[in-house]
Amino acid sequence: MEQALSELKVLDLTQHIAGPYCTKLLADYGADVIKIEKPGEGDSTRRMGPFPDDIPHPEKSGLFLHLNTNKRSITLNLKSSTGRKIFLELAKDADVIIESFRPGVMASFGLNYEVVRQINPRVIMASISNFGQTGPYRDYKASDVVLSGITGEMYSSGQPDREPLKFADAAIQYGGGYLALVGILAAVLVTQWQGIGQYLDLSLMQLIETLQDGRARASITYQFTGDAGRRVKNEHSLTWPPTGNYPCVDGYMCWTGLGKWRNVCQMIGRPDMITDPRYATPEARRQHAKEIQDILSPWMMERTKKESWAAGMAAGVLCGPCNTADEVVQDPHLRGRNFWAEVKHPVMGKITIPGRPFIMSETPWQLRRPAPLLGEHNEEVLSQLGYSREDLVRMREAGAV
Amino acid sequence: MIRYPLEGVRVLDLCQLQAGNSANYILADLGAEVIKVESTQYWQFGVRGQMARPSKGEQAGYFQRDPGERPWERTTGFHSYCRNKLSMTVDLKRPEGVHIFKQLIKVSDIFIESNSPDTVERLGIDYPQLKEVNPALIMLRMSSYGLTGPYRNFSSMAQNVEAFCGHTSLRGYPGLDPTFTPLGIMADGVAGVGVAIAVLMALRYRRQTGKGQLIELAQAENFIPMLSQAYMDFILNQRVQTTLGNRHPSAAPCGAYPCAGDDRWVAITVHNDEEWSGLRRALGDPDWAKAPELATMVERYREQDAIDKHLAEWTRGRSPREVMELLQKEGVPAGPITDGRDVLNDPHNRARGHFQEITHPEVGTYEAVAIPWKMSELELRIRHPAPLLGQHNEYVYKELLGYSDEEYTRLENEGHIGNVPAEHIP
Repeated sequence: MEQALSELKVLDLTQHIAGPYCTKLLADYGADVIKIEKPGEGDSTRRMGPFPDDIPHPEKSGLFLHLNTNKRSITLNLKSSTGRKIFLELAKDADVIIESFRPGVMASFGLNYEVVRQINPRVIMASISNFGQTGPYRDYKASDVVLSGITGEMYSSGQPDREPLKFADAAIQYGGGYLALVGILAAVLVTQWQGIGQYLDLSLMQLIETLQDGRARASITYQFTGDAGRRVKNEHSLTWPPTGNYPCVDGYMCWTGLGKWRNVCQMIGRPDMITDPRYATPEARRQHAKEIQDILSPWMMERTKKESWAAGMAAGVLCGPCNTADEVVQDPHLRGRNFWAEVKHPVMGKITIPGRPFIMSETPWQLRRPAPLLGEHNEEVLSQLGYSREDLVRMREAGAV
Repeated sequence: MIRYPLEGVRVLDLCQLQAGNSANYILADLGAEVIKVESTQYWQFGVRGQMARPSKGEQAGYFQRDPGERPWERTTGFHSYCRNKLSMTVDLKRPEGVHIFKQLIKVSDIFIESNSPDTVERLGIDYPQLKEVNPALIMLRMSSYGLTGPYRNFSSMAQNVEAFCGHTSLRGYPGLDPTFTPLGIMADGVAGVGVAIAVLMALRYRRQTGKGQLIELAQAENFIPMLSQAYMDFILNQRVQTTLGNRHPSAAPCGAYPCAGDDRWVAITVHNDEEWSGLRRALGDPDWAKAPELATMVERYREQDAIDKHLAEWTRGRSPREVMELLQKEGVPAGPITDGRDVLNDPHNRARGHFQEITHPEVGTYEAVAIPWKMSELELRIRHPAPLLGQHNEYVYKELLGYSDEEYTRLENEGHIGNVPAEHIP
């Protein structure tokens, strides 16, 4: 079946998480993505876990295997004149080039946009970096917690008497890569509709700051109300109980009682509490919060996550189970929807990875190939450029590929 | 003159809450004409606040902490995720409303809805019906768990989806149970991004083939790939990861450290030996850091509780910004943990033009977060602030749909067209 991005040619000079997630989506929805890696070393995520039995191996990183599906890999030393020459030959025919080196590195290779545009005026070139190509933080270093902290929201997350708490794992970097993709696809449409190529300066800090997870709103809230977003006690747990994570028989449930007091009372079999003046308004509930909790707790502690979820949904109270990773992977709903994908990998054999983020009826997400071995497609790609097997051996000996 | 990427693309936005609205926010920023399909006859939850007429005590999130005469024009959320959109009103619960909506579908390119799955089916505006009206339509349906399967009709907010996806169990404070874990809303933000991505892809395909399509985004499935390390660890090793808090699986020290001032914090990470040397230099190489048992990353990872204590003693006397500058000068990743005011005043944000002043009739002039994609051939600017309820009714009914003045007045009298939520709405 045809895919949305079929025939879009992408050169991928990104590494780590944000850039590769962006190019993974291009590849998963049909683009021909050639991942250019450093000879002998490859993408940094090849050295990041999880690995089977915790034994590091450049072809066995669970993270790399997820982030690089459907891409082809070639190795090029961009510092060498041969590597640079091959890159420019590939660039001549590319629709999109995406890089995530630190600002200035592409220029040091002699491969900045001005150079590439000379040989391919319609090309889109996008730089994804932590802070962008301009501004006082341009050359600063970042990490997951640094990016989380400097973009807001983290400050507002957590207990008032504890340190702010970031999102789990590298989630925010995936979010940044996802947002970068929006700009790149917008540029693809500009090329398709208006025939114009261009350069994109994508700053993860700036992109993440526009995320509508509370971040984009925080600076407006400050201007509107003077509230800069200090961590506070969960007020809604008092005025709209239950709101928050609460224990149940087999773990925890996340409840959102907001606006649903009537439904909550019906759910726990206490319709009398709907109109009882002690509980009828948010203010009254705040004053009798402990009483309400004493009524809710036994109801919750008699039910499993599954039972609580069903009861909440039947009564129209928003909620969800606090799953652990194993429960997510084994969840019957996701299994039934064929969310998880299986791919055969030359070193790993059959492996399961997370599947499509969205389903397109005409142009589906497809797993055409597993994440590539380092330099797996050197011969395939270079022979298309007219290089012979002997050329390849020579270049390998010279350290160019 | 280069045009906005989505100039000439018309989008109908029938979304409640933040996730759907944030999808349309991105499309509007890219130049699409996004029409919010609102109503004066019922309340769309979480678009213009939780209630039309909140009690005076409900101040949070309202301009100047005052719901005022028109609370629906005053919530920060609406201003944040509805800028650049237009607003029309219609009552979709009556047949004439559905008829009006279908006429609008005929002249639109994209329709995005984020209601529980049976809503549009009940209203008779599901894809099969709308495709008959407009075969090239791209329709996007986003619900929490998708259109099929046992959880199909389970509605939720971001924190519930995140709990389901495991984010809550992966995120808390080490040593504290999930009742202490903040309620996340990342799933909302990235659901909007996923929808925008899907729409952009579908537009490319439609341009090539003339074909529209139906896109289904389950917010849970959209978010799960972003936590892949934890799932892959279970798949490869049957290990169930728990929270690391602000720590890193392989770098140490890493976390949030207290600074001088009231509730001020700085984030620091040391990924490798080179950065560790940088940290030692920045701190003046104190005795504790010279200890031979901290020489390698493996050892530092094991000793990070002790390192954190020393490091916090050093950060405590300094501002977050001072720590950032001292550490970054030595090549160590560090940055302030910023609140809404800090983000607004951040010198890097200022230098990169991260804010744009806009003026709205109800809340006046303020600085909105600028459009973040920096393109060499075109500066994307916010074109107008969030719309007043029904502000673009005349444009939609008369210009797009060709209704006469008389018909317009009749629809006004019948409660389709208006700019104040009906009295019966709390």
